[in-house]
Amino acid sequence: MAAVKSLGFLLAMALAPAAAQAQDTKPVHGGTLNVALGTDTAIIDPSITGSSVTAVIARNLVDSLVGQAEDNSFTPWLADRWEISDDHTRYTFHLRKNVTFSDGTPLDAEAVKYNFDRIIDPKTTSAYAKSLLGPVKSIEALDADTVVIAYQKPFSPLLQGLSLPYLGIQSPTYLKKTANTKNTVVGSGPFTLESFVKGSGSHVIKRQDYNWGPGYAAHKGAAYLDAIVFKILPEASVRLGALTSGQVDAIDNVPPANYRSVQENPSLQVVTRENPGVNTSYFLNTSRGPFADEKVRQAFQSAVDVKSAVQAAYLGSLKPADNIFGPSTLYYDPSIAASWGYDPSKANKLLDEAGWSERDGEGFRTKDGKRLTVRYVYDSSDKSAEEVLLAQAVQFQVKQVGFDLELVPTDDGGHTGALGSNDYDIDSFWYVRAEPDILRTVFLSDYIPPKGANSARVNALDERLLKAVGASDEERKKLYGEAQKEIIKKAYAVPLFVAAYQLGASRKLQGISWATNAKPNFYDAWLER
Amino acid sequence: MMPGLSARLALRALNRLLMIAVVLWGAATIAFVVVKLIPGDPVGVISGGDNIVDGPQREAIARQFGLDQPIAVQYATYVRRALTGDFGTSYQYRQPVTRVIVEAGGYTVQLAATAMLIAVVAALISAIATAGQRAKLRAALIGFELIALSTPIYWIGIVLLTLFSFKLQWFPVTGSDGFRSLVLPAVTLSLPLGALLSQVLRDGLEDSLTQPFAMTVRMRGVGETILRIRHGLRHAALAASTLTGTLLASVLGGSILTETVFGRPGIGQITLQAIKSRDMPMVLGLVMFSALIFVIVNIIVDALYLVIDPRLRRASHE
Repeated sequence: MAAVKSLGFLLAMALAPAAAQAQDTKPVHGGTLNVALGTDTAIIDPSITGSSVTAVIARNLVDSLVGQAEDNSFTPWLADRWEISDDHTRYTFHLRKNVTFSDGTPLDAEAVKYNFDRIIDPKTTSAYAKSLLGPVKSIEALDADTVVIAYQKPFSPLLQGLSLPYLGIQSPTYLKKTANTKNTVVGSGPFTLESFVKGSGSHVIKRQDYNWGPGYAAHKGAAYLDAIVFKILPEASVRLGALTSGQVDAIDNVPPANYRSVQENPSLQVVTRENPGVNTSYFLNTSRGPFADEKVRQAFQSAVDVKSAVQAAYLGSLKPADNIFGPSTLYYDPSIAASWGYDPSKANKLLDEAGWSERDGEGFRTKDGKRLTVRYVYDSSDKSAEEVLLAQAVQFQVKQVGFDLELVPTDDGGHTGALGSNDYDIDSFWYVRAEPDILRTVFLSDYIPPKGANSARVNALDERLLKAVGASDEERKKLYGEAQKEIIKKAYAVPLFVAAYQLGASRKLQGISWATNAKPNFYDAWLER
Repeated sequence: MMPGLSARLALRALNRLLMIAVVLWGAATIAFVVVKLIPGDPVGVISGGDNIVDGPQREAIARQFGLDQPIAVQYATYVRRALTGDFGTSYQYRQPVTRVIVEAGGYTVQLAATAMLIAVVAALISAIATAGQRAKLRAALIGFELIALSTPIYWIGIVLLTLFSFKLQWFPVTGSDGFRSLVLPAVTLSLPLGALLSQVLRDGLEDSLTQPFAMTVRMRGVGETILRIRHGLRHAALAASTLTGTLLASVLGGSILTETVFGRPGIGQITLQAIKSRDMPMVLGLVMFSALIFVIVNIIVDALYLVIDPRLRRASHE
């Protein structure tokens, strides 16, 4: 019986998104959408923060030069069309005409140039947006409708970066007269920012004369919703209560323990969108301690039963990972999955070979009287209860082959401190990005902590990752394929699960599309009356 | 009036001001030292989110926020600026700390003042009605107060929300819009405060009602309620007002949890974020802000002592 029930549950999960899309009721205009978000953002200007909450809100306020559809293809938006030089050093964008910002300023080549120059200017303190633009040589406005972005060396990932709200275009008139843009945004998007209050949320209202939009959108013209209110409700049970009592129409971060009850509630739906990019993984510090030995890393990787650990922690609400990339990432290689997996006898054999052959009284392996201890240092305010549970499951699993996995919870400062001073064996995180160039952020030697996120402290991938930045599509596919293979084979990381954006919503909410980076897009959304 | 009185008063005031300055300086210094002792990377916080910062950019950020200076220089700059009310720029918000605090402060003052009002009124009614009488009601209220005092405030908030917002839909769950959204958070915050005040007031009242003066007043034919309000309460209030520090601390601490549960903006939320992300200027600013409030409230309470207890007034004239 239980098996039948869970089969039915799986079927319902598989069919739910299809069923939602199959309803071809006509969209209606009007209504205010209330969305409760679990985390707040300090800054609403998308050009100067990497916050994903800012991205969700600002997506409604600013338009991008290009759009990225759900199938990862690029569509026109503020740029009607573009040309890219064969060596990926020169991008020419032809802008759409008659676009205005909500303050009346027309969108032209100078406006685009002003935005990107501002992001590059160190005084702006832009980090993420700047990294998306890459090592720009020059930005030129050839005429009113033509912008050229040029590079010294080939740079392929630009289009994907441009499609994100972080590089959305804001009104230059507004930017010039506003010394502090942390609390305000003026763009050309389908909504305008009415208010932004730290700790409380944002209120955006529809722009009636909006007459453009991303090529991937289902409709043209003004948005269906009159307004969207984003509220901040950090407490998961309160967020859930607000949704089930109908006080909000959608929430993010549905708690896994309540996932099923929301799914089974006839008036609610859970829409899960798996993140493209780097899966939540344990990055093994290759520069010191037991993990400096490749065999020990491989043993650890084989000792983790990813499927059952993820099932125990997330109760089936998230998928176990089978590769460093999530399946929706460009150039994801599905063949990697078969190359690794849970194999305790292999783990035992590798550890014996590596010299960790003795066992102490508690069953942990030792070498020269030293116990096989590895430390996982994490920021406890940054990790959910489920992630800690997952770590405990892994701790139990690897103990079976003799690893002493020590969990070291600390605060943000303790975590970055340990990373910077190389005092850890395992670090864990994920990155959302459909562009495989994200591997450069995670595995380039320039970004070894404290300079960045290369927590595995890997040098060996530099050549491939740098070459891939400017290579042709075919070559990039090959290079990223090799990189994926090597990351698993050399056990730089143990991929755990595919992080996802989980939107719990009233069934009345229709037409959500998932723009780049697996974030809900409300331009096509509407509320059933 | 004696001739030396005004001079002595001036000396006392000066003394007092000096004490305030020392307290604030001490708070500022301890906060600075503690914040600097915690390990971590402020540049990571400043660059925010999915931070990707290369070497030169790190240096630029450090220079901009003065983090490349020796600690002693950073301290001197910090104290010099603090004297003019400038606590620098928040790493997270990239705005002057003072402005962020002032903006958020309004919401917290609104919440705290309402909660205090509810707590004081409820405690007064409960204490006057049940001190030394109405045994059953008294026992019930004491039981309730014990529960309110020992229950974590976020749990109270969630229970109230589940009942009055999710089930009955009398009040909205979220936000800072209008009076109706203030009710549940204010009641949540007021419950432990009211419970504590009520217990202290009741004890004080019961104590004073057994004093000889109560007997005298009763013999003059004054009614029981008037006796309690006009005569007993003064004695009880003296004891209760020594709790100010504790109460203030629970208001500030409680507002962090209340604001988080109810998704209200305010000092609590900002404090939590600042500590979590090691936003040093913000933490320092908040510590100074709390210290300032404590100092101000203590001055007010000292003045209130004189109003409540005439004996203290006479002593100061001698």
